[in-house]
Order: sequence, then structure tokens, then C-alpha cells
Amino acid sequence: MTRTGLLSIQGLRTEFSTPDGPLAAVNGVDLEIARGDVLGIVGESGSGKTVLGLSIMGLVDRPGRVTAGRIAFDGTDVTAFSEAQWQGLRGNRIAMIFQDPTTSLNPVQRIGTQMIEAIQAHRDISSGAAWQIVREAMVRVGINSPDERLAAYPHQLSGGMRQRVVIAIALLNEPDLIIADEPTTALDVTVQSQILRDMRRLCRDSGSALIWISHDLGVVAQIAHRVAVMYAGRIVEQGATMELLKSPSHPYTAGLMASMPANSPRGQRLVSIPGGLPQLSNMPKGCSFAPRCTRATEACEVPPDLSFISPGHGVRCVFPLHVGAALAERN
Amino acid sequence: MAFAASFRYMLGLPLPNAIELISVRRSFGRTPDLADRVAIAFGSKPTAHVLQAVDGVDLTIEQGEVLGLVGESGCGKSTLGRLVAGILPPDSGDVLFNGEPMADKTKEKTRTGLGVQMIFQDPAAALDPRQRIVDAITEAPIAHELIQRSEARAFAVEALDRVGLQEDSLDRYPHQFSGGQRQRICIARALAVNPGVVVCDEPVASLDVSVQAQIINLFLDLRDSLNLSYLFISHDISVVEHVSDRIAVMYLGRIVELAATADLLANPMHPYTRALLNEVPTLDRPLSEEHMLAGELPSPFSPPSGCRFHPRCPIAMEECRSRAPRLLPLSSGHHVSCLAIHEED
Ligand SMILES: Nc1ncnc2c1ncn2[C@@H]1O[C@H](COP(=O)(O)OP(=O)(O)O)[C@@H](O)[C@H]1O
Ligand SMILES: Nc1ncnc2c1ncn2[C@@H]1O[C@H](COP(=O)(O)OP(=O)(O)O)[C@@H](O)[C@H]1O
Ligand SMILES: [Mg+2]
Ligand SMILES: [Mg+2]
Repeated sequence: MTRTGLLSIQGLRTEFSTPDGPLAAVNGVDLEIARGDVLGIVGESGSGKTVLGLSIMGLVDRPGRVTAGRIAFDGTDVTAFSEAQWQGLRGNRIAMIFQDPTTSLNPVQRIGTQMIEAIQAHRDISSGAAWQIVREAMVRVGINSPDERLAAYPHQLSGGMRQRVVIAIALLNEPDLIIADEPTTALDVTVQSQILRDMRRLCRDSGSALIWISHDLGVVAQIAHRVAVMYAGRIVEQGATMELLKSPSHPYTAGLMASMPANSPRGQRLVSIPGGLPQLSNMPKGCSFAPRCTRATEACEVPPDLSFISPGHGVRCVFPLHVGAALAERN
Repeated sequence: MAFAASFRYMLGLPLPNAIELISVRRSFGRTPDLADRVAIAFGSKPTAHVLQAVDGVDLTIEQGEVLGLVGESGCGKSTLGRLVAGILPPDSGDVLFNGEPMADKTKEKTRTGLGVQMIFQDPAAALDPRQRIVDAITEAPIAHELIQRSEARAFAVEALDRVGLQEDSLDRYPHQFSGGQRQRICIARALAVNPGVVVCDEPVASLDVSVQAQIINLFLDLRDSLNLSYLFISHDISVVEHVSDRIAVMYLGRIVELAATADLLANPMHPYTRALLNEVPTLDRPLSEEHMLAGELPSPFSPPSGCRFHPRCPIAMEECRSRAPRLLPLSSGHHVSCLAIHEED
């Protein structure tokens, strides 16, 4: 299957003005997503994942602003889109699912009503026909008694069920791109895995591209074809999931993997990354990970360029790991 | 108490369990929500809503042992933790600490009550924002006359050192610290009264992965150096698996399986444990196509009859609808609460 470009992001920078001065939550991000692609974005809290998602959706609000870069969606530059233009895209060709489903649902309206309105906002279609689509969408996300749920108000459903409803709404207009921002973080693993399975299947069936944002590398590994690792507003490493997990090249990625409890013998101390995330208002000059990095030298005081370990596996690090190994394997 | 334990040890007697729970139950009444109030206003009979959050739990934590507790949210883990810590009295049953009834800390402030301390998920909420760190740490030891007021600063320096924080933290306030540092402060505060048992309720759930590892290491180090027992509660099985000697699996207020960690993971017996382990995301195994757990967690206000897991259970028998299984040992020393398994054993 050849994959054609759908979303192309170059040099994206999103800043917030704060009392301490401007702060770049997204600080020069490049991304390419093809149709049918599933891209996982991993990073710890505050690394800029949500702001990146909102930037792609044209949803950054004051005091935030996209200050540099270009976002092209299906060949159209949307960076300077007006709100009216965005409304034609959002919920129609691009949909976003948030961590907290209640933010996406109207508490005083029945689920069914909300879903029919979501369709009719973008399509001229009778309520009867819309109702059919809505019922099918509910069944598709694994809701077995759709009529009962459609008649319910959001608070009458469990957290997992609400998130399924939000996913069903996101899928209603068969979007080309879905951005899912930690949709399962507040849910139990049992519900999470069900939703991951459903999303994987739904994207396979519909050919929608998916950006799955999570702080949990384990979750991303379950669903994504490619993974981008974000640290302090930048993507520090990106590659095919299997390849990246097999040979993480950025010391931060390697540290994240090593610090997972499953990667140390039971009962033994874990490998931990010393220190904490830098403050965005007071960023290190060069590589933002350098203050926590055991490999750092003066060479890290200038921002590292993107270099490629192997085709499609890029890393922003002056001293990447596994480079020798990857080269040897290629030869 | 300390004397009694060391005396028994000298005589070669087994140490008493640090914690023993015997048929412990705790329920909560539901305050009517808006829908209920509307229904009542229109003449419906108010429904008596009682939720059995902990429903007859027998459990021991040995001295120096880490007992892990896992289960889906709402299954009663925190309630069980609060019962163990003595900050929530049971409706019935006994909570014993070193063989003696646990003090009800909601009524009395005794020194023995200090023997069990609790650490919570959200360190920001657990600390008083207007209290300096030195006061947060020394408040309880001073109140219980474990230390003199004049010793407070030196004592706090030592307490902070134990959790990897510097002296310069003493006069600062909680908001001046990161989440990981705040959890260190909570740990220092809990340990300041020399507890024997620490109940850790999701202590790393709000922390980032890289910081989570630092705090887990701290728990492991402190356990070794202070011979602490932990009840370690987490929804994250990989965390519990890493720190625990034994693991208890909870479902709707009851313990359904209890075994040594390696045994539980290598050979999960209860169908719920099996399903739960199957759903844990890992790096080395892709998500299985098959979903082993049917349906959703039932409402705790109307739990299923008999075995509470039967509506979702792939091996449920007719009998499971009406008869509640008990947590019984198998020949392997593994405890499991399942009629189908005990039938075979
Ligand atoms: N409305 C806002 N005003 C100021 N700063 C913000 C705002 N929203 C986000 N930020 C900052 O942007 C950074 C990235 O946030 P976010 O994208 O939410 O991170 P993540 O989703 O990775 O946890 C954080 O440091 C956060 O403080
Ligand atoms: N103070 C309380 N009042 C009423 N219900 C409560 C209270 N504390 C807990 N519950 C209920 O008891 C059940 C068990 O809760 P909890 O022990 O917090 O579970 P867990 O920690 O496993 O998520 C839940 O259904 C919860 O809503
Ligand atoms: Mg976020
Ligand atoms: Mg809890």
C-alpha cells in the first residue's frame, strides 16, 4: 500500500505569553503523516503534546499563538485559516478526542441529539437518516444497546462508555485524521485495551490516519506504526515503532524505556533519569535534555540537528546511542 | 510493642503479622443525587442505597513484607488502605496491628496509632500549602512528644536527607517543589513518626515515568533500611509487580486471588486475574486481538449475586450465580476465590 501525504508540519512553534515572558510549548516541530498512518506521540506531562494537538486543530487560544511554521492538511496550507474555514474542517475532516470526555459532551443534552447535530452540522441529511448513522456508529465502537445509550444523558454513563461515545462522535463524519489526546489515561487497563482494539480496527477499516498522544510508551507501542518522542516542546526522536523500541537512539528515549518497571529485574532498583523536566520559561541553551543526560558535553550547548540513524529513524542528539549497531546491521 | 516483638524474636517465635484483617467490612451510604431528589420530589419512594466497598476481607501483611493490591478503579482499594491505616473504622471485623486492635484515629490520637502511616496519590493535596516543610515534618513527632521542639530543625534535616532532599528545603512551602519532590516530602513526613507499616495508595500515579522510577527506588531503599512493611496499592500492575512480595487482586470489594508475586504472574488462576494481566500494555507483546473481559464493571450499588465476577466470567457455572466463593488456599499456596477452580483442586 502506498501512503500519500495527509498532514505535513514544518517548524511549528506555539508560544504562550506569560508573566515570566514568552514560553514555547511547541518549539520547532516537523511531522509528516500519511493516509492510514497511526502515529504515536509520547512525552511526559508538560512536554507540549496537547498544545501540539490543539495547534494542528487550530484550537490554540490566547494567551497562546502559533508564531512560526506551516501546517498543510491534504495539500492546503491551513496555518492562516480563519475560524469559519476551520469550522468546515473540524469535526468533519479532522476530529479530536480529549482525555476528559465530559469536555466534549453537552451535559444537558441527550447523547443521541448531540450526535445527530454533529452530523447535520456538516451534512444536509434528514434526522431519520442521521439516526441510522448514529446507531451504526455506536455499535461500531462496541456499544451493544445503542438505543438505550442514545437516550441517556452523559452523566448516566460510565467513564469508559462516555469515551466510547466521544470516539463514535469523532468517527461520525469519517474524518481523514483523528487526533486522540490521552483518551484512555483516566480509564482502567481493561477498558483501555478494549478502546485501543476498537480504534485500531476502526482506523484500519476506514483508512483514517490517527495521532495517538500518550505519556505511556507501552500504550503507544500497542497501536502506533510510528512513534515520535517529545521532550520540552521538541520531537527528539522519531521512527517506526519496532525499530525505535529495539534501538532507541536518544538518551531520553532510552532512559524512558529503561525506567519502566518491567525493564528491571523484580525488586531491584530501577534505572531512573536524574532530575526533572526543564522549565519552559528557563530552557537550557542547546539540547533541552542535556542537564539530565550522562552523555552530555559542551557539544550539547548548541541545539542538535536532526540526524538519521536509518531511513525514517531520526534523532536530535549529538551523541546518539546504537548508531554503530544500526550502521553495522545495514551493511 | 517493640519490646514484645524483639522478645518473641529472641525466643525464636514467629513474628506477629504487622497487619491482620479479619472479616473486615465497610459500606458507604449514597447521598441522593439530583436525579434521585427529583424522583423523590415527584413521589417515588427513596431507594436505600448502600454500597459495600470492602466486603469481608481477610488479609495479613507480615513484618517487612510488601503486599501489593491491584484492581480496577472503584473496587475498594483505597477504602481497604484507609481501614488498614486506621483512618476509617470498619463496620465490622477486626484490624490488628502487631496483634493488637488498631487505634481508631478518627476518635483518638494515640502513639500506637502512629505505627501505620499512609501516603496518597496526590502529594499536593496531602500537604498544607501554608505550612513550611520543617513544620509539616515535625508537627506529629512534636505533638506526640517523640522529639523536643528545640530538636525540630535537626530532626527535619535528617528526615529530608533520608528521602534525598537538602537542608535548604526546610523553610520553603509545598508549591516551591515539583510533584516528585512533594511526594518525597510526604514520605519524609510519614516516616517521621517511625511507623512499622506504610500504606501507599497510588503513590506514583501522578508522577511522570522518569520521576516515578526515582520514587519507586526510594520506597525500595527505605524498606530495606527501615525494615518497613508496605501495603502498596496501584492500578498499575507493572509497578506493583516490581515492588511486591505478594499480590492481592481485588474485585468489587473482595479479594479474588492472593499469591507470591512470581507465582501470581507466572500462573494466574482466577479468570479475572488472567483477564487483567492480559490487558496490561507492555513493550514486548503487541495487543492481543482477543478481549478476555466481557462487558463493564457492574455498579457497586447492585453487585451481582453469588460470585461477583460471574456475569463477565468465561468459565462461570450455574452455581456461580447463587453461591459466593471463598478465598481458599490451593496446594501451591496460592489463594483463589473461584468455585470452578476449587472444584478441580
Ligand atoms: N493556556 C496556557 N497558558 C500558559 N501556558 C500553557 C497553557 N497551556 C499550556 N501551557 C504550557 O505549555 C506546556 C505544554 O503543555 P501541554 O501541551 O499541555 O503538555 P502535555 O500535554 O505534554 O502534558 C506546559 O508547560 C504548559 O504549562
Ligand atoms: N467516602 C465515601 N462515600 C461514599 N462512597 C465511597 C466513599 N469512599 C469510597 N466510596 C465508594 O466505594 C467504592 C470503592 O472506592 P475506593 O475504595 O476508592 O476504590 P478504589 O480505590 O479501588 O478506586 C467506590 O464505589 C466508591 O465510589
Ligand atoms: Mg496533555
Ligand atoms: Mg483509589
